[in-house]
Amino acid sequence: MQDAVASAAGEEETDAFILWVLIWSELAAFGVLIGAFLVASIVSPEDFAVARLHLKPGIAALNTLVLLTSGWQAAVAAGKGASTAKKRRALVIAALLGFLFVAIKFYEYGTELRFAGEDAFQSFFELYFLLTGFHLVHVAFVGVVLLLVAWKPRPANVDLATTLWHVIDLVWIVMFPVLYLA
Amino acid sequence: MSDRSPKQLMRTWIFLLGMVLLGMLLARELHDTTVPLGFALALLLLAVLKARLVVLDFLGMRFGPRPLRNGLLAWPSFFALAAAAKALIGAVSLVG
Repeated sequence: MQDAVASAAGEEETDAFILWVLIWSELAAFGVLIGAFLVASIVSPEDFAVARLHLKPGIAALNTLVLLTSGWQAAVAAGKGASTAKKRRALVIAALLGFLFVAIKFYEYGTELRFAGEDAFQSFFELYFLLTGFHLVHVAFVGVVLLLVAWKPRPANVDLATTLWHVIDLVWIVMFPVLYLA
Repeated sequence: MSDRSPKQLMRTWIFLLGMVLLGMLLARELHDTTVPLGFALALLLLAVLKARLVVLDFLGMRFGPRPLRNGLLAWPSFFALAAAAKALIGAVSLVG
């Protein structure tokens, strides 16, 4: 019995370790892209400043509200003492808000694409689409994971999925002013 | 896992929404290619504060392992500082 408990605890520690390795590798990858964007904006300040005027910070701010609300629901799902039904509901809401984020982002892309072909803005939009697209894939993928976890919300799985979700949220919070405003 | 109660989580969410709305109000004044330095710094500060609440309350790191918490708080701060430095370079080159 004691061996089984020790083994389960060991497995959970390994899961948590692998999760944090994954998270830091994601943060490193996003960090490189954000760094590249900042360096490129120092190299071509005029082109970047003009290209930025074609973005829609209002839509991006709306998406920030959506993602933060989703993060709140994910935190509720992972909170202590939440019943299975409450976890399930919160995870589904978090995932659906994630998909709403994706839909809004596609709409925003639709308004920006026509400027991406202009030579002066090429470097800006390459980095912009790479960075936001990479983030968008994460939102869509982990949104599906949240739905799968909601089906059978085992505490360990809820913790893993919601932790990853908050980190994706964290990345967006940093990307938003860097890409759109500052 | 978050160690906050549902009520505390809701309070954090309301704070976060308030900061986003404040940022939106500030952003309404932006119609030019030149972003004023103070404006850029205010938006970056808001981003760091938002990231701090997400890490401490949503991610449950308020009482979590210190190295992990510090690392997660340092990541957004580092990029906000880098963006602030870029804004400062832009402002100085405009004056020059």
